[in-house]
Amino acid sequence: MNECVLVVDDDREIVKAIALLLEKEGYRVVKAYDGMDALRILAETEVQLIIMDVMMPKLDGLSAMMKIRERKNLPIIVLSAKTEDTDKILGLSMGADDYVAKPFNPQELAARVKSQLRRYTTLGGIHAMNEEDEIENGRLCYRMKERTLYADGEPVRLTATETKIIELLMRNRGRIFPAEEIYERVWEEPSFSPENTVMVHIRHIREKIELNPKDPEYIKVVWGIGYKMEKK
Amino acid sequence: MDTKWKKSRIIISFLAFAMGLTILVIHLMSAAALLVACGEKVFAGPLDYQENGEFRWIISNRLSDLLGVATGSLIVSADYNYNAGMAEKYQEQFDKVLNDIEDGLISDIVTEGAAEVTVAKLPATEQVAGYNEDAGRIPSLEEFGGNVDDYLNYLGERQAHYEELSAEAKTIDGSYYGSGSYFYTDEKDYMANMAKDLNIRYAVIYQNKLLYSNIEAYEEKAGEAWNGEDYTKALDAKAYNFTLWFNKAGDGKAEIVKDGRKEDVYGDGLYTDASRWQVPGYANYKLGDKAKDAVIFLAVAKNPQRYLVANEKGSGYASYGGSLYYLKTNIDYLQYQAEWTRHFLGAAAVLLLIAFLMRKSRKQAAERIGVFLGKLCLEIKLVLFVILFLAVAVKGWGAFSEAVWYFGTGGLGYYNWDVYLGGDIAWQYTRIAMSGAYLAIIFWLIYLAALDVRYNGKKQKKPLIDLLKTKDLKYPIQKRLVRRQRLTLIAELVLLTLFAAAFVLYALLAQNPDAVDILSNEVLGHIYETTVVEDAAEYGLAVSTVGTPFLLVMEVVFAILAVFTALTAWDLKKNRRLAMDIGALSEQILAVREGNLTGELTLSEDTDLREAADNLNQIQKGLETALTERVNSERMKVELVTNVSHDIKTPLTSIISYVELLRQEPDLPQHVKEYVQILGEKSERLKNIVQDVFEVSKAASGQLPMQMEVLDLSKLLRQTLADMSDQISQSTLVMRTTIPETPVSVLADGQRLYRVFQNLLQNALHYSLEGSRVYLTLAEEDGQAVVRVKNTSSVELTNSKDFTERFVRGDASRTDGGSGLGLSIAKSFTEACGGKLTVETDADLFTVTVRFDRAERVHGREEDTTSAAGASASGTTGEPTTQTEVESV
Repeated sequence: MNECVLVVDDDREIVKAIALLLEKEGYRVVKAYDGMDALRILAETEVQLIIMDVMMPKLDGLSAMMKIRERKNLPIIVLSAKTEDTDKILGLSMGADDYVAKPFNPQELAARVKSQLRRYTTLGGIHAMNEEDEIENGRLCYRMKERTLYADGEPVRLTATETKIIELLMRNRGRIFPAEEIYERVWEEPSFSPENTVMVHIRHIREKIELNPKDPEYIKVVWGIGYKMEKK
Repeated sequence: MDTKWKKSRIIISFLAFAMGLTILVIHLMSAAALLVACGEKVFAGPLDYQENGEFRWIISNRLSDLLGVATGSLIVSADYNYNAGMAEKYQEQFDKVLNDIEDGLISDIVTEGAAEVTVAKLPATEQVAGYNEDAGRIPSLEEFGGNVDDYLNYLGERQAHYEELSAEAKTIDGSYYGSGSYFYTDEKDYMANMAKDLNIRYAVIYQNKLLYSNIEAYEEKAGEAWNGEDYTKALDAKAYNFTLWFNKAGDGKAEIVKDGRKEDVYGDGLYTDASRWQVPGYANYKLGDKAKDAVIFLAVAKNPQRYLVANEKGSGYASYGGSLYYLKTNIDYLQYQAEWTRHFLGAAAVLLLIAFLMRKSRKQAAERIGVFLGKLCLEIKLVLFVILFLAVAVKGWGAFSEAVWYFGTGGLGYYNWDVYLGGDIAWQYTRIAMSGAYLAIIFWLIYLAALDVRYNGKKQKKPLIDLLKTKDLKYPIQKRLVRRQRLTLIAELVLLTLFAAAFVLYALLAQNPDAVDILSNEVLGHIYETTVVEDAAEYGLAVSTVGTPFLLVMEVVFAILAVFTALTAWDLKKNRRLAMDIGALSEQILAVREGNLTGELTLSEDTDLREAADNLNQIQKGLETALTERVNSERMKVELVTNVSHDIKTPLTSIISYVELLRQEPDLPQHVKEYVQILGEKSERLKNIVQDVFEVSKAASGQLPMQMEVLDLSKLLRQTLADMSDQISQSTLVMRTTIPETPVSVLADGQRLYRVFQNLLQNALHYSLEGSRVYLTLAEEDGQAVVRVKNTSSVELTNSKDFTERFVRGDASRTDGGSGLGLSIAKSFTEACGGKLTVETDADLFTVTVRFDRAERVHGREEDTTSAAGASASGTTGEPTTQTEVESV
């Protein structure tokens, strides 16, 4: 226990705040204030996760991340004030495991740290346990025999209807379902104005599986068309 | 060296081709004439003048004449075509004879007096080709290059020459040309004439008595008894290689021996049109009873001589004797021409072979000529072509029509004995060869035209035609400018052409009596009817004397007209350029109107529109500067907003983080906890404002990335409502929606459009009167999808406000909720998606209308979903268009 998290940002107050938050959650925290700093600390200390800002003096976050990725595959969460999609894609493609836009919700950050660490420490080694009846999608894993959804390795409590929706979506990841179809398949009766019903259930599922339900990563609305499970 | 050789190769190949083809055309024509006249044997070897229809015709005629003499009936056999110089007293008789001959009768003509006939032997012409000058034909003025003085001199000399000739021949009447008929008073007269024949020797025997003979040994023995002597022996067999005995054995048949060989005269014994000899002795063409006692002997010279028989007593007729001589010279002439034709055709074949072997170079030469032709104006080419074509046609028409006539009548008048008497076969032949030359010229004209069309096609330089056309002009004002002057120029050009044509025609007529004939008869017949002058000499005189002042006036008028035409053309050219400039100006104005500000209008220095163009360029430049400035300032604004928002975000992160830490402090007093709560809410709101400002500035500057797709607007509205159902149910407002069940497809970015309606609904939820109703409707109007959000404002609305401006709110004092950017974002995003957002206020009724053009429902994703829905309803899985298989729950 007591995983070590490296927090890198040139804004010392932000580093301090993140450190306080994470220590409250029970993590050990190492601090660095630029990319070079971070690389030096990484060489000396055993670290399980890195939270790193992009814009930093001496060595920026993306460059530091590339250097780290040469040797280590520990999870890296990138922080950035740039919120455009292209910045996000660039960060993720250069080896970040997650991307959090500034200003962030501290609790969301803590949840992401937790999620990344769980997957890294507990699931990292036993990745091979991918059986026939198991559908994996990023943080999520649906075991069909158990009819249970796991998020970061922990079972999620879902109602029967929610489970049916999750199974349909997990089995057809990436495919867009109109509300009518979801309704007809899950409730197994003809739909009449199903949008509200489906949306309510989806919102409930989101609250249980998404790290930030207001900005969902997994179950997305395709506006004017339907809903889909993002393929991770 | 190489290029030099290449160049000479090109020249050689084309010269070979051109010469070969020209020679071929000309000599094919004469070869055809020769073939039609003599058959292929003319090319084979020497022709025997005694081996043709004409010769047989002369001999059979002579035989029948002599038979007539033997039996005592006078036979008329003379030139009856001309009567120009005939004495009046014979006119009547001549007409009678003519009629009788035409009626197929042979009439006896009885006249008084005896003829005194003399004979003069003429020198044989030295050159075969040159003898036509003496052949009685009057050369045309044309042959003297139009020189009237020379021509008159010639005619005078010629007259003198014939007078001399006639004096030598002791003829009284000196008028030679215009000579005509000669009639014999009786058989003695006739025989006295015939006795002078140097080419045919004869003996006429009747009832075993020798009546006439011009064989030297027997001339004096007329009236003596004939004891069956063979006169052949009295003649040199080599000089007289053709002998004919008629009725020698009393069988009424002719026996012909040629070069010691007996000839088959009668064939199968029946006389038909195809029979070679038209002499009595056939089963169906027998001698009359009266002639049964007549025996005739004829011997023909191998080399006929040329001689003149003149009759001083008759009509003043001086006849060339020796039609056989002319027959032979004509045939020799044809033979001679055939030989040359053969040589020429051989040469043509060699040249064409060379051209064929060097066909690559020849093609290059053709290409070069094509390129050269491309450099010439189409108008010049057309005029040259027409003039040359017409000149050749007019000049060559005479020769050509004669040639056609000769061909039509069997070639070179072969069966027309006039030819032999006139001795004019060379003239005819020359005419045919000339028509070949004209044909060659026309061929080359057409060849050049074809080359021009092939290599230059439609890319012809045609300044004059270009000047006249209006198709390339776009604007009506341009067309009007050109059309106004075009008519004048066309009229002038037509007039000029008419003048030129008249001029050329006049010049041609003055030079070429053939053309006079042709034109007067066929083209200008009705105009010149009364003034046609047949005689070339007279005509030439008429032209040269009467025409000069008229010609001068014509030239002056022509020149003035030409100057006027040139002036008009120049003027039109200027006007055309003005029209083009106006067109360019209009285009530029249009371009500026459409927002294309690059590229300035450049007209030539001296244009009348220089000032206007300059001004327009100034306006354009000004606009461009203003636009660039605006774009720059817009970009700077976005950059500023981006930087500012980034700079705000960093401290905001700290604020939010520490508020969270504060919130987690367990031992805070209650009122501090409330403060922390407020801090949290406000920092969250600040975060939203920053994000909104960022997005609206990007959308306003058009830098927002869009993902356009066809989506169902009714579904999107329902999704939005479902998404916001919590907020709606928490408010005191009632949502009244009218959304059709059927899909309403539009092309838009779904995420952005969601933000539009989210903002509109949030706006309604925020600013509506408590407990009032919000109406959301989707309808189709004029092919557009129209969404309306109507709500009753809780505060009084001021009409003048533009609610879509940034940071504008219905109630300036309101501080809760949004950033004041909601409507602004909605408007920006709607416009970025290609729609229109308008706001109307009516008292406190606040209406937002969003319009989109309807899209075709053919795009992928929507079809996928609808078809998948259909599939799921019927229980089957997955449609082929779906990427992933649908697995059932």
